[in-house]
Amino acid sequence: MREIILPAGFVIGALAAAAASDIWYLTVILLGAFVLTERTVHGDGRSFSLLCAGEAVVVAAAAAGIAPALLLQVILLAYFLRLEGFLTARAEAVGFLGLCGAVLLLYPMMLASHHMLLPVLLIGAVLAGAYIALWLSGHQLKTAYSGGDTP
Amino acid sequence: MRPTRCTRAIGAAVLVLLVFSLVFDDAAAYLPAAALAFFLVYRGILFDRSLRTVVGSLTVSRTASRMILRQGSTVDVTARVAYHLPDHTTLTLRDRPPAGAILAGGDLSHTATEPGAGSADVAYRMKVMTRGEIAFGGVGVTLADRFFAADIDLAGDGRTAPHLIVHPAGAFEKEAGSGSYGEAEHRTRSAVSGYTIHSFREYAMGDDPRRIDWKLSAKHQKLFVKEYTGQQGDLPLIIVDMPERTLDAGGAEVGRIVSAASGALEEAIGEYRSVSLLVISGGNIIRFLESERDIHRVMAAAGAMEPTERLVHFYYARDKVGIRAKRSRVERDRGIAAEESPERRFCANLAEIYRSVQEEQTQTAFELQVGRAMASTNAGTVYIFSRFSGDCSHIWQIVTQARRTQKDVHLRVPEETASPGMLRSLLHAGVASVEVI
Repeated sequence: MREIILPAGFVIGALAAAAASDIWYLTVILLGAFVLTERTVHGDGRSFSLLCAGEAVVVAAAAAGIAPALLLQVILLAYFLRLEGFLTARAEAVGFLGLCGAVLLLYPMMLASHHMLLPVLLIGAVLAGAYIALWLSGHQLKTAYSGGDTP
Repeated sequence: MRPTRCTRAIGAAVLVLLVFSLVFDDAAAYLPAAALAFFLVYRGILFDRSLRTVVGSLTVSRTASRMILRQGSTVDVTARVAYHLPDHTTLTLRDRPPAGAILAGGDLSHTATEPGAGSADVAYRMKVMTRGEIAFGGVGVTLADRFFAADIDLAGDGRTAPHLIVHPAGAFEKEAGSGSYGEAEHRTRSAVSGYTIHSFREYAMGDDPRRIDWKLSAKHQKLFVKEYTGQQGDLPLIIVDMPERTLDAGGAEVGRIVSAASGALEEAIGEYRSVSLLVISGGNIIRFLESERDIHRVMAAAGAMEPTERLVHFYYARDKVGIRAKRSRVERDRGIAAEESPERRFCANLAEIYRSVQEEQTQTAFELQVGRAMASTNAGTVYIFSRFSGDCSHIWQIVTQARRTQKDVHLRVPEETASPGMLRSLLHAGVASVEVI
């Protein structure tokens, strides 16, 4: 029963977004593709296929408004993680709430910016900064623990 | 840290969506791109924390069956690794043997998926090929979750213990009686062998342990073996030369050599009631069965013949006879060359080099052991089964020794490696026969 809460929430949210959209038919078609994927695709690539199908629905829903698209995005990520076997412990849920907070921060930023150049550059900078930080962390770990005590 | 296939696919989706939003100035595509980018960063941070947890909790306690050993001998190693594994991760542990060690059995790695505190025993057998005081390489750790994987080698904090002390397997033998007083045991190559002891000598690698005289060994604090006298005959000595395993695992030709040698052994034991088998690999004695009468033991030894690691390499070294022949040829050329000519200077230099090599050249342990084997078995005929490819210095040493003691040498070459040129050069070496098997 608990397994269908997230996909059901996603479908209801997408239908609600479609109702307020000029291109409601596109949202409904993409939602149909998502449901079809959910019912038919099994095996190792199931979670990633659903993520891709869901992202298409999010893009269509974003045409109606940023807020419902953000909500759908959060539900989709939670569903993806559940399919991968994550979000089973309280600590993981807390970490995921942090991610949700970061995603919701996009809302005021997108309202403030009229063009996409600066937000795209900002995401590029975030990714590059995170990559460098994680690389340095890994390097520091290797340096700290690889010190040989060979004679 | 490296991304998995899933992470690379999500990264590609982020890139496509970002390019789309930039080109069409569309916020609808930007939103999922940014959310997925945050998602990857979130997973990266979680994975980094998991890696730190595993590495910080990992302890290694390693035991070896022997701490002091001889180069080329085997050691049983057990490494107990304790760790704490976070949820949704897979841990692969690999014990890293000392540099130059060869795995002889068991498994170096262990994979754990059960989260929480755990431990693993990694047990294996290795052959130590290096010498001196050597340490283990530590422990290799591979941690993976659905989105990232990382490899890290842990070598500090006693993870390389214990240190093994490996004594070298000597390539050269000390000349008998060349040192100071006290080396009274004199080795005499006997043309006869049998069941009466005629002398004792110091133990050398490859000697049959059954011939050790324990009383004498205990008295002198070093191993001595008995030399027998007696039995006369014209028994064949079958020498099988196995290729080096680390360079060449061998193919059909190894199977052919083993099969042909087994046939020859069976035939010999049927005809002479006993046979001697010497298994070598380059300049290394692997096994020696002296005048063996039990066909089951002979066949078991034949079945165990396989490519092996070589501790000693001759690097195309020439024996004393070869060097002497080269030197006399060069000196003859020098006599023919004109005074003050470059050819004469060249020949003089070369002759000087050969003279120095000849003076410094000592007898190898291999030469000595083969000589003893030939003498103790009283073999009248020597059969050599080998691929005769690569460095054949050891073969020429055997041939020289056999000819010196008036033994007929028969060479057996597998079809796979035989070529007309090779067969011609083998026949010119003064052997009784060369046969393709």
